[in-house]
Amino acid sequence: METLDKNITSDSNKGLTVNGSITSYVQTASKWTIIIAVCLFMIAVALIIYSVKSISDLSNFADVMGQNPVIFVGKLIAFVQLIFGAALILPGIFLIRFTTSSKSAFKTLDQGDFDFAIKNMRNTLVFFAIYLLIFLITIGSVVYYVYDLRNSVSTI
Amino acid sequence: MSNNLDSDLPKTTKELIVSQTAKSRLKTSTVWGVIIAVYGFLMAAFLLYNSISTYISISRVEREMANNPIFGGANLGMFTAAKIMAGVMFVIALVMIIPGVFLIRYATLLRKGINSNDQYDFDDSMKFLRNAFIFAGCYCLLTIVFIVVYVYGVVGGGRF
Repeated sequence: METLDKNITSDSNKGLTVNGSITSYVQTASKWTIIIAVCLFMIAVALIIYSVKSISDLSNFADVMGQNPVIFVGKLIAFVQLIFGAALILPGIFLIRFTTSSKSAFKTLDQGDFDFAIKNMRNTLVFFAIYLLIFLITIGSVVYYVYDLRNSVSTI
Repeated sequence: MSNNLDSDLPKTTKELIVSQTAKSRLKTSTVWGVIIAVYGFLMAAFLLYNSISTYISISRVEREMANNPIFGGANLGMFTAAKIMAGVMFVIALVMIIPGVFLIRYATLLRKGINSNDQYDFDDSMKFLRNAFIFAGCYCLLTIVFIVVYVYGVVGGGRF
């Protein structure tokens, strides 16, 4: 009994290792992160094209109709969309780095590659948390601005 | 002699460990993971509220119109469509809770595993991280499908 207890203590003092289970979990995760990265790139490209097209169409419309607040708001929304779309490239890069470095770490058992993979995974989570925060604030601001504009137009 | 022996060892016999740097990075990731989970729960709550209130409003309007002689008790298809949309929104809201649960479980187990050096908790936390990535992958694929359908419906439908 004492021997068993001693073994448990020594195991818990040993430190965490990357065992077979973790390797399997990270390998599965890395397959999905490639899919996520590709999807993010596609969404980013689609948003950039759509935003640039919207800005160009609204500019043409403003040339014909003259400047007005509605066109300005449209352009503002398209510009914000452009920035949010372009920003999505960054987590895609993090995820691809996570996949490649984790694969390389398990293949060559390189500690540096494993640490780099973890760093990129952390960066992805940090990015999305900040992205969502800014996204919610921006959506709130745009809704507030449009609502305010609508009220001022109806007052006139 | 010792150095020679170490250099003679093939690289593959080494074992990857969770270094102090990795531990620190993983701990930071748990904080941001919880923040993302909280956003997920908030969005799910908003969607749930929205879907339920939409369903109740649509049902009320439908009942009013059915009882109103002006409309002749007409049952318009748009109400059914709106109810289906509210139902879809409800399901999406429920599904959006899942990644939040995965991230919370990941964060709690990882912190516990690192603090107490418990390999089992650490393994489990990685399992939940994998699940969160699988969910995100499926969600991204579905988003792409929806974008393609939308573009086909709006651009293609308008043109052809």
